[in-house]
Amino acid sequence: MTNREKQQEFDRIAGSRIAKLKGGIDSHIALSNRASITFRNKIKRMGLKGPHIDDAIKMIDDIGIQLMLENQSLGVRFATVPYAKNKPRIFKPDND
Amino acid sequence: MNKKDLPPSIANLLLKEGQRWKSGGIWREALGTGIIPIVGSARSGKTSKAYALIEYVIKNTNRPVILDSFPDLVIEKGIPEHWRGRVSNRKFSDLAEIDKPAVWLLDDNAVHYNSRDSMTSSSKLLARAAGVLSHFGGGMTVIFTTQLLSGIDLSFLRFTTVAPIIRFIDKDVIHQERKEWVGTVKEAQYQLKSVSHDIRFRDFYWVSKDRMLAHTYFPDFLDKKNHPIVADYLSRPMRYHTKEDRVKMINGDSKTKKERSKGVKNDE
Repeated sequence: MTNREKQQEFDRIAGSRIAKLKGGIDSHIALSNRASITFRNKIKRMGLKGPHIDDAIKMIDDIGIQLMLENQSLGVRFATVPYAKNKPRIFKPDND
Repeated sequence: MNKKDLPPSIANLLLKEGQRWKSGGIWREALGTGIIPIVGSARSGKTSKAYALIEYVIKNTNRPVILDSFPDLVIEKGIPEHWRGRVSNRKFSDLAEIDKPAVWLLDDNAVHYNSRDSMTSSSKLLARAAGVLSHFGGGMTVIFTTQLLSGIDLSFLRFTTVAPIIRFIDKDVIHQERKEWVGTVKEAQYQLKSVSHDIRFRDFYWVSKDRMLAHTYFPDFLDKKNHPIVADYLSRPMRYHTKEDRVKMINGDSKTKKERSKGVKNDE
């Protein structure tokens, strides 16, 4: 096993463990940055609610995640893109 | 069971050389020679799968079938009626004496052809046989079952066409598999898990050459409800070997412990 493979294995183990800590931590903490947390706190203290506030929070989260992904490899960035899961290929005999 | 009922890479080796069949909308011509390893943990349905392949051979070809080192009792009483006259038991070491395009079944192979026995007579036989399978008897096919390929002498797989079938493998055992092969085995387990409703994935198998899953065909005669005696003879044939033969198989030689101790006395 190469060092790179070992590191990937450790990453998987660490990821698996942290995801299981009391059900895991919120994605804005795991994947975004501290601005996302302080912004949420400020909104909460001001008592603001509504769809426009949700949009603002989502924007802060998106910017945070984008900052995080900027430092990642192209492969990691591609892996975060949602895509339809391929259907399993199951052999079917010809009908004719 | 029809010619078109198996994935192309498997049918390619089981049909007789030159036999034509249609798969995926394409007419194909069978190669008729090569090796089909069936890999899976105990009780994953390896032997049942092997019998399903033999059933396919019996119904769709005129190739003789040879069950390597099967007990006589199983051949006499344990095989279904429509197999009679087509199936015999010979040792794989008799390979050169067979002048027909036989299909061999080598069940639970790790006992006979273990990689740790390298350069014992049986391993040498395998190394030689793999290279000439396509020449003897007009092209032979070998089906063998094993729990992991890491237990098999690799020379057997180097020199010919191989079409592996993968069944359930215990996840704690996969790490012991050959490094060239472990990725394929892991992918198979992932694919099987994605469709199977059985804890040991017995309703599907993975054909790595075609990179596809296939539904398991379970022959009627293997169902204990229909034919309890036949089903037991076939599902656990090694149980019906004599004690002497079992000892020989495990010791990997032709002498029992008693005979060896006699030999020592004689030598003295």
